[in-house]
Amino acid sequence: MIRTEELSHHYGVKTALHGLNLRVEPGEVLGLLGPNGAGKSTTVKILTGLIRPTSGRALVAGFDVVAQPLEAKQRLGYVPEQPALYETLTATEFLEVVSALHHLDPATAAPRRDELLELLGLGEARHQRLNAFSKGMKQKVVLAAALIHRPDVLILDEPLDGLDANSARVVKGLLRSLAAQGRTILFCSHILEVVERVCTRIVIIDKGRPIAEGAPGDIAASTGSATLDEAFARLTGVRDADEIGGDILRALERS
Amino acid sequence: MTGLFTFLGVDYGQWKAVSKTAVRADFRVPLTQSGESYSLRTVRGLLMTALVHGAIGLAGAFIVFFNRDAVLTGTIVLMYLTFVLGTAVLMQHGATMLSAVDYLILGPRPVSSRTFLAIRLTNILFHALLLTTFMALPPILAFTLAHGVSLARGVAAAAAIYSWATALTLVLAASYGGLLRFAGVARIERVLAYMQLVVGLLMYGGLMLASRTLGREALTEATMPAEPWPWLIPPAWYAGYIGIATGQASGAAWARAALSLAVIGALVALLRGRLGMDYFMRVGELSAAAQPVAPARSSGGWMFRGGEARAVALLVFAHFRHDLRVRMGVLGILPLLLFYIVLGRDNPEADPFVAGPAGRPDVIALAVLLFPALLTQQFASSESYKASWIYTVTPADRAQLVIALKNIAIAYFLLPFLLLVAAIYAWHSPHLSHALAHTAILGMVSHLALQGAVLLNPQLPFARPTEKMSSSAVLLAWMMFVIIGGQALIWLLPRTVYVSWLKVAAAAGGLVALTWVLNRLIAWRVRATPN
Repeated sequence: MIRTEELSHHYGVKTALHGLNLRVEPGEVLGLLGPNGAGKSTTVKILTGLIRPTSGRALVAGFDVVAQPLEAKQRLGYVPEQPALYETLTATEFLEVVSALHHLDPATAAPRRDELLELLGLGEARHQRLNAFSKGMKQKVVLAAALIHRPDVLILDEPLDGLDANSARVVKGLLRSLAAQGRTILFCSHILEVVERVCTRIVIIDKGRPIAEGAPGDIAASTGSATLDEAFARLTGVRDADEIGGDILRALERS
Repeated sequence: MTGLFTFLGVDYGQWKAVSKTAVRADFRVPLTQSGESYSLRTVRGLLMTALVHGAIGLAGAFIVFFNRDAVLTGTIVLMYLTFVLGTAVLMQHGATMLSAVDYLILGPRPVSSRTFLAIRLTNILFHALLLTTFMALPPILAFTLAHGVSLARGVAAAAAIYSWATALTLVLAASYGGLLRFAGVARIERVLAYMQLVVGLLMYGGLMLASRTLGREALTEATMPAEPWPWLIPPAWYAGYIGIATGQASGAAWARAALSLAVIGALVALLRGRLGMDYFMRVGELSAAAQPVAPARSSGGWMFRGGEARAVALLVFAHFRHDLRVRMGVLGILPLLLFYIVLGRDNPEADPFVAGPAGRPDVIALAVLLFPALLTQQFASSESYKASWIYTVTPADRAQLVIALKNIAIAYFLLPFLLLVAAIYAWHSPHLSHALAHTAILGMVSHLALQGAVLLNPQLPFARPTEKMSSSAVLLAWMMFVIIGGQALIWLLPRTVYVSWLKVAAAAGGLVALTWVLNRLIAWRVRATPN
């Protein structure tokens, strides 16, 4: 379970989060959406222990991420927005490092690691250094690193970024299965079609505050929109996309 | 200006734009999770660099005031500069020549190979000349003011210092560029290891040879050695400018000065010629080189089998094997250690339990004290530092990570070095027990010194961006501190501790207790520090 209570965060004078209350139950895939700078990344960074909240509380699997960080992290799997990896390591070595940081027994972790890499299509590349990996391959390594300790809670920031269509399908199916097993999943993405398909519930935030919440269809209906895409644009106050495209073209022609 | 660039085959506009950006980027160190501001880190790095190098420069200025032979003192100042610049380039800036980082940005643009090389060289020269400036100011002032005011002598000293700094940097840069061309991409990692050792040995060995040639008499009365010795000491060629400015130069000194300029010209021609023509392509090959498949065996060593220590061991080994910057940094230290050992063997105390005359430091002991801290410095930063998010999102104990890094440096690097040191002491000492006890005490003190450094500045492994401005300054500052503190300790040991075995045992017990306390303090400090 994931819960935030009156969660706020300030970067100097700029407020990124204003008392956010969020609840994700076991078995649920919650899509956290918002325009750039809405506070999604700040929320994720607080939940994963990368930064501390200015005020309020965040709980992962029932543990306060500030007061009981190690207990929370033991149950958390995280896929960051950018798959930063130690690129001199091989995929196997990187997962070995992550397993060791989770205090997994090497004898248990090794077959699980090899199986995960095999299933994600990295079996042959597992002894290659990560600097030779494509973006999608790195993304798969990060996914494997998030899953290797069988976490109760998964926080995924653009997990399908860089993946080919087949791999993306595998991951989407995997997420649904993990949720069906009772795991809690927080899913952040800008690709609304994916969010619509994967998530059972959506929260849209803007300027650090929630502005809509509900099932994808309900959010679209509540704004009188045909699609989630359209509803998102209306809720976040963005001008018509075609109109902006036309303005850009005109600006290029002028200069 | 543009004419010179055209002659060199360099696009002036591109060179200017990218070089400015590169220097700006070096000063804007990426933010770590501590959220410390750019400007604070930059100012702190610059201040540290200026202070440390200024202190070395002051030592040079001191010599200028106490000896009237301007060419000799100029040569000594240039030898100090060789040590400072050589260490910085070997351990830090040399990797810039082989780095493929900005190739990904410039590769797809219409930038010529010579322009690319000129941009790289400019960056290395900028940092080298900045260090030189911090170090050079006191000696230049001393040459201007000592033994009667002479502006010409000051100007000639500045010319000598900057010309030698340029020549030395170009030699080292051309060595790395040549390595890329002649070793080929497939063999570069292996060949680089040998080259780093050879260049280090040549540099420190040359310095040792020169210091022996010059240092036979008391410093105040020493004079420049007679011909043909100055021909063997390149810094003396450049220091000859000072003699020329004061009208005291012989024909040979004029010839050496001409040779010094010819060397710079030849280096520029070399870099403009073959090295420059295909440098871009070679770096490109390096960035796109097919990575060999690693063996399936575990590579974290057998000593650290689980948890944080296992994770850190894997990271250290992988970085040492495959990260050019880390590998070059570590291999750059080895010739320095060898230099200390050879110096120490030249002046061995027969028995470490017997007090030698004052002013004759046990140089081997200094090497033992220096080694671990120099080493762990190399393991704190990485080009992939952003991957340190894994420490934060996993239940890893950060204190254990910091302590594991220290322990790995001790277990895999200091202990084998101590075995070598014990063998050297045993060879010279009539008592094996004395040699072993002395080595053990030194090892414990060295460990304690490393713990002190870790306590003052605890660092997660490979979690810090590479900072060009401050890291070599930190190294030099640490070396100066250890040399001063270490000499005092080495003087004290035979006089206070080695007088009885009971005292040796008590000292060892005290050191073990202190080690335990410091480990606790490190853990407490790391856990008390927010992410």
